[in-house]
Order: sequence, then C-alpha cells, then structure tokens
Amino acid sequence: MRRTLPLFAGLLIVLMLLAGCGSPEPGTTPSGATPSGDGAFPVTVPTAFGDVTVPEQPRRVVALGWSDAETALALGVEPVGAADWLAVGGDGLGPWVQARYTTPPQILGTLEVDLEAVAALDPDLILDTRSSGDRERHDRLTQLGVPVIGIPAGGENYKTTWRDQLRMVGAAVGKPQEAARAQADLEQRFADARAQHPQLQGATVVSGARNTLGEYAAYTGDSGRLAFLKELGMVNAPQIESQRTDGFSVPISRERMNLLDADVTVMQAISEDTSAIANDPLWKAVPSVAAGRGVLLSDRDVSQAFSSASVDGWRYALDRTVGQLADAAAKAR
Amino acid sequence: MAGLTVALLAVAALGLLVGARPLAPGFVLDVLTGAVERTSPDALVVTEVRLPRTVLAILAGAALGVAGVLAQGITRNPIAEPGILGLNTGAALAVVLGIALLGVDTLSGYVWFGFAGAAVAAVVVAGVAGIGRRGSVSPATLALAGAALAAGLQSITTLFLLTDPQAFDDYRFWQVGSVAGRDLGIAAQAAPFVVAGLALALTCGPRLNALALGDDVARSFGRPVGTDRGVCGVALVVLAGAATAAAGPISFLGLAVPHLVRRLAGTDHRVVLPLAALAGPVLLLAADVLGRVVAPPGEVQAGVVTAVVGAPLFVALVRRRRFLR
Repeated sequence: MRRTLPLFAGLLIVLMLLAGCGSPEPGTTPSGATPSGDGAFPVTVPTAFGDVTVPEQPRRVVALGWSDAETALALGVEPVGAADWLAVGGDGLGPWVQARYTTPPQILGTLEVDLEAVAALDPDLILDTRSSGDRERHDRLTQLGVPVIGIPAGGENYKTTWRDQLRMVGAAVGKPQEAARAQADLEQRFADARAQHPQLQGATVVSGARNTLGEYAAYTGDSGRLAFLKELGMVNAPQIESQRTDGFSVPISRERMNLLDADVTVMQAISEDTSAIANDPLWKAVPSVAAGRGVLLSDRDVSQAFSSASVDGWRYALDRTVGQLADAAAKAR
Repeated sequence: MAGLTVALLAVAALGLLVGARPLAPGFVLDVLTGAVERTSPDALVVTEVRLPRTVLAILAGAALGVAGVLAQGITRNPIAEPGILGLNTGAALAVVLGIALLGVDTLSGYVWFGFAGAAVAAVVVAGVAGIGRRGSVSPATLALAGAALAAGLQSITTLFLLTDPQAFDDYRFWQVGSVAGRDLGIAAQAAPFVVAGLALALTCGPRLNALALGDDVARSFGRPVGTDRGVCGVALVVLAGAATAAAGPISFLGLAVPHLVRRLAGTDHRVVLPLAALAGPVLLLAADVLGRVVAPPGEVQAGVVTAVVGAPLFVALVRRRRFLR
C-alpha cells in the first residue's frame, strides 16, 4: 500500500503549507546554510541548455530531476522542494538514503511540473539534472529567473549518469569536494566487488522490468540500471544491445521472452510485487531463469535503490545484490 | 452469417498461429491437442500467450460489437457507441479510485472496479435522464446526460492522475486497451457476463426495431417503450462493462461494427445483433494479430491498432453512406 493516497497527500500539503507559515524566514532555513568553504561562488555549470551560473551559495534548492534531491541531501544540502520519482512516499527518500531531512521538503510532481508550486517555494536554485531533457520543460523552469541545472551537454532523457549528476549537483550547491569524495567512495566499492567476484567480468546480462499488465521490457545500454551492472564488469547482452531505441528500454513481446536470456537475467517489477513474475510460466521458461541464473529483485527497497542511480541507492543495492549476481554468473561458467 | 462465421474461424486461427515468435502451424496444433509436452518456451507461447488473448479477444470483441448496436439502437444515434452513456469513463474512474484508495495493482483487481464503475455510471445517466419523466427516457436526453457525466468523470480521473503520475503508471497502460498479458483467469471472470449480456441482447432485436420507428409509433404498436429501452440498456451495460473491465477501454470498435454489419445485412436488428457478435471478434482479433507483428521485438496494443486503422476506415464509411444527414 505504498501508493500515495492523493486526498491524504492533498491534506498533507495543506498542512505543510500551514506549518510553513510559522517556519523561519527564507534565508534562515537550514538548507545549505553553512558554507563549507570548498565551493567558491559564482560557479558555472555547463548543461545541455548552455552554461548556467549560480551567483552565490544557494539556500533554497528545489530538486526536480530523478534522484536530484537525494544527491543534494547526500552532499549536506536539504532541498525545500523535491520530486518523488520512485513514488516511495513520505519525504520522497527511500530507506537507502543515509542523511535525513530536518525539515521535510514539499513534494512536487515528476513528469508534470507545477510551476506555481515551485515558484511558491521561492527557490534560488533548481536542480533538474536527470529528467526528460525537453527544451520546453527547461524553458518553463527558467521563467522563474532562477538558475536551472538541466541535463548535461550531450545528455538524453533520464540517461544522466550518476557521475554527471553528482558532479553537476556538487558544483551547483558549492560542494564539489564532497561530490568527489562520494564518487571515489562508490567507485572503490564497485572496484572491491569486481575484485571479489571476478566471474562477473564479461558476463552478459539483461536487465528487465515487468508492469502490471504483464508487459516486459529490457533496459538498454545507457540506462542507469545497466550502468550499475556494467560497473561490476558485466556487459549488455548482444541481442538487447543491438535494439535501437530513443528511450532507455525496449518492449519485449511475451512471445519473445527468449530475448531476456543471458548469463544473468535481472528482473524487477514496476509497481506490483514480484510474485506475478515468479509465478509467470513464461518467465520461468527463459533459459537463464530455468538454469537458476535469474535474479528477481523481489525486495522493493532494493529494486528501487537499484533504479535510483544515486550514490546512496547504489551502495545499498550493491550490498544486497552482488552476492546473487555473482552466484548467477558463476553458474554460467 | 456463414461468411462471417468463416471469417471468425479464420481470424481465430491466425490468432493462434501468428505472433512475434514464428512457430510452425503443425507445432501449434500439436500443443493445442496435447501431442507435445507443454513445458518448452515455444509451447508456453501457445498456451500462455496466444490462447488466452485469442479467447479474450473473441469475448471482448463480441461484447463490444453488440454493445455498439445496442447503444446506437437505444439512442437512435448513428454515432453512438458504448462510451456514450459514460460507461468507459465510469470504468476508468473506478479503476483509478481502486488504485488510489485501495492500492489495487493487479489486472484481476481492475476487472471488478471497471465493471462496477461502468454499472454505476449507467445507473446515474439513466437516473439523470429520467428525472421528471414517467416511463420512457428520450434518446437525446440519454445521450446528453451520458456526455455530461463522461466529461465530469473524466475531469475527476484527470485530477487523480495529475496528483501522482508515477503511481498511475499502470493505469496509463490499462487505459489504452489491450488483450495481451491477460491470462485465462481474466477471460473466465468476464465470460459469464458476456454470455448473459449476449443472451439478453438477442432478445433486443424486435425491441430495437420498434424503437427505431420512434417512441410514439412504437407505442402505437403496443410496445412497452420504457421496458424495451431498459432491457437493452442492461444488456449494453453488462456487455460494455465486461469488455472494458477485461480488456481496458478499446475505442472505436463499438462504433464501427454496427455500421459494417448494416452495410452487409441491412437494418433489421434481429439480424444485425448476431452478426455484430461475429464481426466484433473478427475486427478485434485482426487488430490484435496486426499489433503483434508490426513493432518487433515489442507489440502494439490492440486498442491502438483499432484506433489507428479504424478511424480512417470509419471516415470512409461515413462519406460513402452519408448517414449523417
């Protein structure tokens, strides 16, 4: 029952707005209020929509892109508004995020941005580093007269890498050194995992998902999910790699489930529990799954952390999946 | 009649033989007759994918085709379709409420919400249209009440969807309308309603013929106009509700089938109704089969195909028949 109850959410927003009346003046809120000294302002961040200059230490950050809020939070900056892409509910943070809010942000829409709600938060920086990358969306946000950090140059919809996101958010909020430290930490963890499980090196993998209607899809080469598996040394299975797509996944007909076959097949559910997959005879008949090399991300927290493509999310997902992935890869040898 | 039956059998065979994975016809036959083990991936494609969706397409197609005839007959409106009484939007809102308030996230759960929503919408429309009247309800009032309710329900649905697009991801797929990915359990849930609805609809031939003459003339022949419209209305709700619940709102089919059948067989509803029960599945199955092969390695949902292929066909039909005088 993790779905947001819209009426309840509406009520909550009203309550939060009421509560906001009694909260401190803008500028004295704790979001990024303590400059650490390592980021010098003004700072210029290159994006797909040109160079964006942040004139001074932002105090009221609105994080709209996928995982932008948790990335900012991991760097010690509390957004005042955030989008909840993974529909985790509450303050929009999954249990994998270590830092918590002292003041929960206002939760904003994801695909559709409510410009008025964003403006009402009186932001001095808008993060939108992992989103559709529409110029229209970007142009609407820039109307607010606040620096908008969009997708990186050469970026595409939702394909912003964790490194780009971390670097851009780190620069924009004046925490480049913290960002560099977080990147080094995660890279070290992946390096350790590769060293510990050499069988992952070069193992082919398909990363897929299934929706409530029983439709399957496979994530393509430059999507975040596959990037996680590539960090472990695995490679995208050739039959998926050769599919052409503008998005980050290709639909797979239920008749062609054999396309999901690889040394390791990773599967997650989109807003349903994974028992429907586990009980699907077509899933069980995928050769890799039948051979015990299917990895079903049945824990919703792990599945979402895997999808988050953020430093905290991947630390969490790495700890909880690397054993299964390694076991499956070992069986393929 | 014979021609359409043959067409239905032919398309049903295509439904079992054609798909995203090439399978030899002989092999498919072997699987269906149990001559080979039903455990290989190839065999599972026949039993788990093609058979359920073919059965479902026949059920939903028959229901939608007949519902279209009923909707046009009851309202005496040649461009009426099952959605005219707010049935689709009622079903959609109920599904959204089920997701939002009760966290329903399985297809077999959607079925009952869709069905209930369609039924409630129909009762409300009939109630609104019938206020201040005794006995019969005027077709125009009925259509207007349906359109008004549909607009209202649609906006409420949109309100819910906009609050949390992520949570309603599945709804977006459902509302396209498709017969894929549904197992035989869904078909079994819908089948009793479709059968009952069809049985009731077949009694509507004489009733709709009388209604077609206008309420006053029908009354002068001694027809109980209100009862006739009520009985056919119940059949319409049951059929449209069952089809929508099982396959999602599939556009256009309910609109096109009556016109196609009337072109083939004239306007006698005693003939049109059973023919529509054959023509509906033919069209829906054909749309589904087409959708399987046009976009490998994925598929296009039948609801999309009916809209894309059906709309121009319908325009051509309208222009040739000039029934919109």
